[in-house]
Amino acid sequence: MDIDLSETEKVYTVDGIHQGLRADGRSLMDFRPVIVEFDVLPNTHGSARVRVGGTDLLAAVKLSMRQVKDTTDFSNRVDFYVTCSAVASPNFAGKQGDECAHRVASMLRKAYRNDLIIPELNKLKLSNDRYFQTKVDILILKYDGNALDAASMAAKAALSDMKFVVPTMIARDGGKTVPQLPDKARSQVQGLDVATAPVIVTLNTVGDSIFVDADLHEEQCVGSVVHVGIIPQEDQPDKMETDDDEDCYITLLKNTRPQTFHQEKFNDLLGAGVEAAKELNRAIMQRIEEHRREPVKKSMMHPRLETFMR
Amino acid sequence: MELNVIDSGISRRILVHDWFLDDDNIVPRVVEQYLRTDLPCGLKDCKSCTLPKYSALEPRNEALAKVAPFKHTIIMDIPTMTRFVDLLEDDHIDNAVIIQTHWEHLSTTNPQIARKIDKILKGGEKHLAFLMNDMMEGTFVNPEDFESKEEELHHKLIVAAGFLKKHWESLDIKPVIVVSTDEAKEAFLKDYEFVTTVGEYVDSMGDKADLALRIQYLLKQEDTGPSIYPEYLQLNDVDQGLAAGKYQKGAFRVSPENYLEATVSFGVDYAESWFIQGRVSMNRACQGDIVVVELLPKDQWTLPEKVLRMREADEEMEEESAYMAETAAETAEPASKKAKKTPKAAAKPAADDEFQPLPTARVVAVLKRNWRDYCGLMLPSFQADGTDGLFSAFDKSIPRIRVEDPLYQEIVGKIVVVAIDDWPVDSHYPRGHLIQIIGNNGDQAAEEKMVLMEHDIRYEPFNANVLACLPKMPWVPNPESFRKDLTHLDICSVDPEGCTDIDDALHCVKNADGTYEVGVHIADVTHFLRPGTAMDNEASLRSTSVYLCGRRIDMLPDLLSSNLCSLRGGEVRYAFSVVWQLNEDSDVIKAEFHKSVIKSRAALTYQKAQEMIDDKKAKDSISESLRGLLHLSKKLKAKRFRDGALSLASSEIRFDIDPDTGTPLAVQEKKHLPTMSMVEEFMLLANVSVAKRIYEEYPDFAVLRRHPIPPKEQYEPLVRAADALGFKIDPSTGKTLADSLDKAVDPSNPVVNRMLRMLATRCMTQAVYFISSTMTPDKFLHFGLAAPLYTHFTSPIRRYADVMVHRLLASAIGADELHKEMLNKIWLIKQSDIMNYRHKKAQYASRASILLHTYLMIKGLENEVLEAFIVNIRKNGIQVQIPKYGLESIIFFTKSFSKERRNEDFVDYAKLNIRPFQKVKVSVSMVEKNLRRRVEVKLIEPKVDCVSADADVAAY
Repeated sequence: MDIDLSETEKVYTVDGIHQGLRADGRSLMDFRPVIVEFDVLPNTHGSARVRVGGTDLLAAVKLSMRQVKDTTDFSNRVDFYVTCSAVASPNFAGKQGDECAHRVASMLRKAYRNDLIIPELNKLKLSNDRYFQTKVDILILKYDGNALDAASMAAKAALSDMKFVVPTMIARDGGKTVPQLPDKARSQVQGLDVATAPVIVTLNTVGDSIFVDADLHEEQCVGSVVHVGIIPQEDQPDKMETDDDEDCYITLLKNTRPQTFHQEKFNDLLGAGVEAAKELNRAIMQRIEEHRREPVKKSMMHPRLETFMR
Repeated sequence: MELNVIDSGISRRILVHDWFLDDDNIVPRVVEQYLRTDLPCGLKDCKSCTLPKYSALEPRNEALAKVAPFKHTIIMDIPTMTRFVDLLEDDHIDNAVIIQTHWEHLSTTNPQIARKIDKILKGGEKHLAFLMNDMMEGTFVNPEDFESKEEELHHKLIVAAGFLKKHWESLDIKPVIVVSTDEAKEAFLKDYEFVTTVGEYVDSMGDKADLALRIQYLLKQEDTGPSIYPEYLQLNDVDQGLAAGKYQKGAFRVSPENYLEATVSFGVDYAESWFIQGRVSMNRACQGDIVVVELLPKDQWTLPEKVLRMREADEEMEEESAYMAETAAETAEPASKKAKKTPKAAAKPAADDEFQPLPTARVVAVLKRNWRDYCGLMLPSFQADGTDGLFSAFDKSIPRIRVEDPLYQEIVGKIVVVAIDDWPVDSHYPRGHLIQIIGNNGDQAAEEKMVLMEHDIRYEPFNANVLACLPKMPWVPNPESFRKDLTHLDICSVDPEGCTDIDDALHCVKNADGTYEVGVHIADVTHFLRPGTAMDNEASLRSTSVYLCGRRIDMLPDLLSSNLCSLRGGEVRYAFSVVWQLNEDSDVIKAEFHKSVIKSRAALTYQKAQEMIDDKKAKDSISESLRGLLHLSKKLKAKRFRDGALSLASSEIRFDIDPDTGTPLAVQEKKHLPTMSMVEEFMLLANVSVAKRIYEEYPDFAVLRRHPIPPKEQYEPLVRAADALGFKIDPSTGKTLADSLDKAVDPSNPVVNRMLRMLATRCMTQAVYFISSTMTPDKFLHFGLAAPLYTHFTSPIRRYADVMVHRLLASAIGADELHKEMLNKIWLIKQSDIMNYRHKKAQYASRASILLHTYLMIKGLENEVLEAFIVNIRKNGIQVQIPKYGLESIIFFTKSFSKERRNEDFVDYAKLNIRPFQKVKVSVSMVEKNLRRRVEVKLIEPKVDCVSADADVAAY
């Protein structure tokens, strides 16, 4: 993602950050506005579109039936595939977006590789030999920095939008089973509780300053990049007042640049990351709840304009 | 913002979400649907709808029914449509609206009913409308809003009715929902005011007593009597059972000898089969149905009874008792079942002594019915004024069908077409209804029509489009560059007497070097029959000409069949010639194919040709040519038999028909003349040569004919019969079979060999057309002719396969361009299936026609005493063949031997001096009872108490 910034421009950006100011007017720990839309692709099991500033992603969930010897001890994991549109950034022409896509996918996989994440995934174990494999396909439509944070939000939003029908499993020889569409499939639609799906925040440092949500230009100037992924705990209203440090787990911690940290500084960094992630999660969960309560009617979302040829 | 640029009456788009099973995955599906404002309501006078209406509503029926004293149309709910679909055909019920969503639902759940509605709608005779409520703004209801299909359909009906009511408000027409039960009426009344039940509706019509009676009858049918048959399994259980191997599925085949026995074959190449015995185990399955069967416990396994059991003979008494039991709703076990059990029980111990019982199974479900429309005879009722009775199908593998019709009394004794509707568990017979009346029983024209209809033969005259494809008369040959002029050759044709569609002619010239030039000239049908024309289309559907006694149903219009394509004597005709150079041993040195112009010198009969050959004084070129052909053909024949070709026999008779009345005057066994096999040998040679050529040229698209090697088990009857006479038949290869058949000669009884050959014929599988790329080359073999490659080339006037072969060959030699369809594998496969089907049907129809004429012949006879041969011996009877009429019949012993001396199986017959193929004397006469005619055959010599049954075991 080498956008050619001149030395002067870089110095200007870095200097600004040292002073706690960013070129676009944000403070160091400010996010750009996040827009989350649900159910954008009707023929998937669930989908969401997430925009973080100029970064624009589309996430879609697909379930596919898999067969294994025994599902009891098997951990059903969410798998991720990320693709970069060739027009996402001027530099992504051809296949150059692949590297970025690959990096995002592997981070997401790592973050989701934990049994604490979405315990309801067990609902997708259909029988002794069959389960639904959850795949999240993410398409980066436009790249303007901070793709991983946006992707983690998109994944969570898409999973929250996931709708599926649990098939009636019919026993066959040798403990095998075969799925069948249940009667009244429409009323059998289920969803997942995604409160514990991870949220990732990427922390960037310039010297001693830490900042989040770097845009395309800022990404050229950072010293170190640390991804912090948390598994938020479910909100329990009566525990709201208790100690904040206890209510989440870290599922991903990755330093992607060859840079070392002083322990004290790293603690600050981690604290800031967890704090930001929790806040981000709270915002997303609120949006998900809002959508669940009153999903926007399609007809209201798209006012119509008709033109007649005659 | 949605931008819609539209040019028609679309009001909006709807996305309907649903779930479906794709392979093993449950995936969401979104169907995009456009609602329109310009769809017709179906009313003829409607001002607000503009689209054309075909069979439109014209309700002027305010006085029709008291429950609806206003102009109204009726809309039926699903149960009413299913049960009272026939009402739509009744004159009193009119102005009905069929709702799209309901029809679509029926077409998945009850396709028969949906098809019927479709037919009535398209009939256009009544005022009916099809409301596209799923496409219409105002009637569309999103299925997503409902839990169950029933709820959804219920609501859709109400919305549609409400819409129409509002739509027609100014015209004062009201839609009335017609339901069949009071509960349904209650449910609809909650949301809609005009609801009635069928009963109320018809009753309030006043003087429509017959209709009301029918309704009551239909309503009554709902209460079921005691079950006679086990219920079928649910589809779920069937699926499970099939997967677990507990059940098997396959086509249900009724034994031709015993209608209470059947087999179901399954597995690779249908190698395995299970035996099914008895009415309850057969559980309402009919010939050809795809059924699911379950193996019975081993102790219930049994064997075929080795008893001849024909429906005709057996059911006569049984029918009445079963029928009576049913109408009286007796709870006691019907007499028929009791009667049936006895022989079964008796047969079993005898069987256990000698044979291993077969895996025996019972039918637990029917997956796919093989029902079609059947031709047959309406039998008289057992009640004097009943409205229902039994129907006896022409196809003997089909059970009697119970037909209800208000006009029943008028159709008794008529030949009719009947369709099966269903077969309820509490009914001995399937229930059906009348479709068409063909004519009176015994009327020759009606019976011939039945034969044609029953065998699905396209017998209607050619339509105008087809006739338009014919060349203008008078036709003159117009020389084409690729066409070789062979008019100088002394060509002649040899055919049976009275043949007008002459498609082959021959010539033979002895060359100076001792070799022979032999030509086979086949009518060049493809010159006239161009691909893609209406005529070609019709010919490809007919696929073959059908020869009935005294009538021929042509594949091509008469102008081609009997004139332009017929190689008549003395006329210049186009031909497709195969010219060989043969040496003295009839080996092919060279073969050439070309389109030609010929002029046949004479159209000879077999008899005439024979006389010319035998007449030593005749030295003319045609006689010489015929002698040369005969000489070479003998060598060809010898060579063929050396290679293992089979010489089989079948009974062949022909009738002398009075051309004016169509009645048969006399019957003759076909004579065999050496000239017949002379023509045959060269036709075979031509077919083989052409097969090689087109296969070389088009290895993927050649239309060939193969005759599969029959599986060993099929020879069982032949081997056993020969064994009984002390001969050994070795069916391991064609060659050994041919040789062992040759050896099986009983000097004291010359018929034995012929009968064995006839039996062998029956063991054969059918030869079929196929496309070369659908088989591996090792399967191309024509077993009967011992030819590795074979096709049909020599009769394009009467077979479509030959037409296809002509087209391939013409293109191979550069005389014509190949039509693109000939390289379309899918079309080719489809066409070869059609040809195989039509061929089989045409054969059956010819046989049926012969049988029909046999009856006519016998009708005039008073107990004629004839010679006959025993072909089969069973415990309770013998099967005899009467060569004079080519008739096969079953003679039942009045005392069943199996009952009394069950352990001595065949010994009994020895005492009676009955042996297979023995010559016996029988008397033949026609008996008519209960409108059923049958040939009664009685054994005169040796004397055994017996009765006979009408049977044509061989044909089916």
